[in-house]
Amino acid sequence: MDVSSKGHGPKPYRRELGLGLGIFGLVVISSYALSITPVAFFFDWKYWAGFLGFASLGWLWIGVDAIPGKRRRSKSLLQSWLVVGLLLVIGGSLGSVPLLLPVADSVFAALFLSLGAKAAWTYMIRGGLKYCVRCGEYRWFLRMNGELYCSKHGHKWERQ
Amino acid sequence: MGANASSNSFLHERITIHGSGGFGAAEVGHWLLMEHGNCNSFDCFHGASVDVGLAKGERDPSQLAIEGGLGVLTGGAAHFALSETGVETTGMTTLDQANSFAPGVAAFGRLSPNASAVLASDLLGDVFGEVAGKALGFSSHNTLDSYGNGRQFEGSWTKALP
Repeated sequence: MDVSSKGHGPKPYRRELGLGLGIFGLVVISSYALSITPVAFFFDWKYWAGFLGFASLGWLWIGVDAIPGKRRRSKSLLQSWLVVGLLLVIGGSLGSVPLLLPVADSVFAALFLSLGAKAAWTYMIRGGLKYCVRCGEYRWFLRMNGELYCSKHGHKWERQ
Repeated sequence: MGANASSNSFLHERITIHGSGGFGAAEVGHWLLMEHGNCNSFDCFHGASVDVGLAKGERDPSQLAIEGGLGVLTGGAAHFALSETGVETTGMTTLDQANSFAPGVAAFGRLSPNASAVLASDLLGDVFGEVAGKALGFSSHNTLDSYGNGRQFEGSWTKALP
């Protein structure tokens, strides 16, 4: 039997809800760090420079997922736990230098916010949960070179 | 995060480590905090009053980052050590892990207000990570792509099948 003959069926919204909760959790953690940051730092350019820098590193740390038959997932040193651990320790230790305290205070919030943002960007904005005609099921689709591919088997998305 | 919302918090891994290795990571982390933190052993062991250089009741985002980073590094080191000694960390149920890491969590939580905050964040991240992982359709094992790569989830790398 052709898998596509099963029909769509209801979209499993709980998967999107789960992702949304995960992103929400990351934002909450980031918000907590922001809430304990001295207000004066928000008016210091060094805070925002540090925030941007560490958020960029967090964004790169996640990397990209594999698309079967199309690309491998990111698996370099930058994507390791060692790097994120050192990043947090070194970033936080900058606080021992009074001049760099605003930078140190931005590390935790920036890192978690960037993780949430990257997840939202990858799965909600550029990709999404769509029906894969060839799999006959709803799959997460990832974007590569302007095309959407099923994360399970690498099938290109076909609009029905 | 692979999607595992790779993100699925770094504490996810640390919790797995606690689960499999008991106090290992917490003890190493405790030692590191004593070395780098501003506390004496009595405070560290007997009180919730570890002085991290802050006024009472205040918390410091930079200290939060350091403690989170130490958690990641000590968790990673413990994970590496356990894997080197052949201790198998996969296959434990969530309840098994909860039973095992609970004492370690309690010990870690006594270190400082900041450490507790990290822990709370971690647990939060763990719960959300678990939910997101399930929602995203990842399983803990045998999630392979066509290149034979496994995804990282629950603190372990799934291996390519022969």
